Amino acid sequence: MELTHKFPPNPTLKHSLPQVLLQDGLQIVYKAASPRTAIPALSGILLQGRGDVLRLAATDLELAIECEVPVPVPESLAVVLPQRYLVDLVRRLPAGEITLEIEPVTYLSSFSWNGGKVSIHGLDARDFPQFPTLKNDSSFQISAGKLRKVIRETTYAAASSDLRPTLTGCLFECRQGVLEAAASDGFRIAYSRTELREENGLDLSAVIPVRALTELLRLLPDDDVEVQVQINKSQAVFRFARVSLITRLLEGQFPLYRQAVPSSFLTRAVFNPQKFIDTSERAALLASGESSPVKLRLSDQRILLLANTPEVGRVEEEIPARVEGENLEVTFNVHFLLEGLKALAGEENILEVSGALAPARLRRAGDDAAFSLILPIKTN
Amino acid sequence: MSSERTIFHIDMNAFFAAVEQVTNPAYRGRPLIVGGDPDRRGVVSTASYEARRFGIKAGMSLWEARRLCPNGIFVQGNPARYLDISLRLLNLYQSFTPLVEPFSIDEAFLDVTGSAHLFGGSEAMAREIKRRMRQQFDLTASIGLAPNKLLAKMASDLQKPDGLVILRREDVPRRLWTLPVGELYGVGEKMGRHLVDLGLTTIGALAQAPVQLLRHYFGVVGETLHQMANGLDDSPVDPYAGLLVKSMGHELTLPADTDDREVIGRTLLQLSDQVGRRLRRDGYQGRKVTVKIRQSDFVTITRDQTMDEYTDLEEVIYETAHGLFVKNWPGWPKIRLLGVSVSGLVNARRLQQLSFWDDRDRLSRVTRAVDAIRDKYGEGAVLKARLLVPARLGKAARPAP
Repeated sequence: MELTHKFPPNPTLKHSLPQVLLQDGLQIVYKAASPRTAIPALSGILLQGRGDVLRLAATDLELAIECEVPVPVPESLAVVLPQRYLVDLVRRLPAGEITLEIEPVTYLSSFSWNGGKVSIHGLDARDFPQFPTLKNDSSFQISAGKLRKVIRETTYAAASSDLRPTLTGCLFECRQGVLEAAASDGFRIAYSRTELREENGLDLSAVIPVRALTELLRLLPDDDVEVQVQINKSQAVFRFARVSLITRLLEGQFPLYRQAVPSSFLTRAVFNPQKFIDTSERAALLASGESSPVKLRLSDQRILLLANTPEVGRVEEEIPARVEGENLEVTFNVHFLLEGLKALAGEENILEVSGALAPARLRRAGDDAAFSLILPIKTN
Repeated sequence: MSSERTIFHIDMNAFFAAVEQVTNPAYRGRPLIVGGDPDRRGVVSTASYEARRFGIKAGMSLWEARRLCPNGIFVQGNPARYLDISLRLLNLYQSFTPLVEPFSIDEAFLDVTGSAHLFGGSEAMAREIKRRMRQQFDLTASIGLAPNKLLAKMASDLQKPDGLVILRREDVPRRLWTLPVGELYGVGEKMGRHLVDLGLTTIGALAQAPVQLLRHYFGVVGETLHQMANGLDDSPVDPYAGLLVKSMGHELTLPADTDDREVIGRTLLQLSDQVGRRLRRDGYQGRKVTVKIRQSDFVTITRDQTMDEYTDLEEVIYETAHGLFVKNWPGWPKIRLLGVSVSGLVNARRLQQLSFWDDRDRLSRVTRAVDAIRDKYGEGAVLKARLLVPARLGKAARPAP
């Protein structure tokens, strides 16, 4: 055992860096920390010199985010600082150069600038968990724009309660150069498909927690930046620019959702989505609380939307539409319609239905790469 | 027309015990305690007046009741019978006024402002109600007669059993103000302590306390308390109050404190089964499941979870309740009582969100078939295999001495 490992050789670590770079880096990683955990290191953010960069990292063991701040910092500088103070503190520091100084042994860390100094207590960086490096993994590249679209078109339909944990995730399947994603809470299925730049012979499937995808959405760079996605049996890593997001995968079999998608429908209506969204939002306003039912009556050249909430009020509106097929009446949870429409709004949208008890499909006109399949509410 | 109302509060005397004594004449005139099986644990739900002379009170443990009155008659309650009689009593009240608000299984408020003159005035009407109650059911009640619900309720408490007390606004200082503040309706143990700490030991002291002081300490509740202590209450007798069900739940004191997860799981299943059955019978579905865990140190944990769907199926209720339990019980100390309830209720006969790939529809049909069998042949006719255990299995969980 080398004693030098326990007692850093240089008495005090001191380094200066621009406040704005530190603030930006912290904004990227801070949401992965878990301020209320029993493990102190997990409630903090790791600051670690890497020679030519400063590494910031946070994790709650489900999700981990790290980023490299482009500022040379010697490897001897390393500390874990509590997230709840660090992020807000750095945001409130004056712009310009900030000197970070860490006391050895006690890890008391101070931020000083011309005329001021704030110190907070830190922890030994060696208590911070090592992030996994994925071995035997499969990886593919996807542009940030396509990945953003796939996430937006699916995650809204995932389950919010963890009664069936697999349904709180989004299924990613990569096969023959195509990425297919699906999410479902059991009442609706959201699906999105996108072509990858290269056919890479991969065949993989993983259920990624929606929380990780929501964070990813917040961090994704400009549309044309390539994102490297690595997936193994239990983890997925998304890498872009100087950021890595690592998430644990959800276990369990995602339902065989393709079997639930009908190959044909009895009636289809083509309409302007904004009109439909406005109408549905008025109905949702009155329908709050319950399962928010609205009745759609598809006939001739219109969709009639009817909602009646006892003791609150009623909505009755016509949405102009080109309707083909049988005249039908179906009741839906208005929030399912709204979320699907908002994720999929195009110039024109199509609603396909087959009756009061069969799933209905919502998609953009002339586009079947993404859809929302919604089950009705049965009315007795 | 005078704006003065005439309200009755009718409070059945020792209701459950009285019903038992009417049903079984051998119990008459003897100390009768309605509760559970005295060998097992449980509490007194009602004691007859004869039993009360031994110091037995509702809520006391059966074990203690047995110690106070070893020769008492201990019977297990018969809730179906009490409910039946309670409903028939409401029918009786409704022949005097349409404005009848059931307040609990053995209490009701009546607004007789418009109909009292048909019976020769309110006092004569109250006597007639008591006469018919005795004649038809052989039961007695205490009736409070007052200008509002609060005073009517206080009045019926002033004379028990078989009382008839008229309380006017001007009687409030003389008859209520001398009572300890805890006797005021709506003042619980905790609020009572707060008030006593402020030096407001009697209802009168509360009535004469500056309202600003009460507002300062208790907010809006303080103002209400002040009004109530002065005998003021303008809440209406609402015949539909009981119809707005907000939640349905069951709880059970275990035969012995336990940390056996099998016993706990089984109990939660049994409670979920009872709640599910009630939801279906009354045509409700709920979305929020609450589990109540009382530990042997009497620390009580209550946790709830809102589900994605509305349900009336015990399987779904159980899964959620059990999940909550596992997440929130640290594994120690042992469990004394468990409760499961479902709230966020909607009328289920109207709407049902369909769902993909789970067997909820099939499960729902099976459950309803089982309900039909139980309706016809009794609760024990069909049981979940997991609940099919020796009735006293809970005892096995008790550590050997």
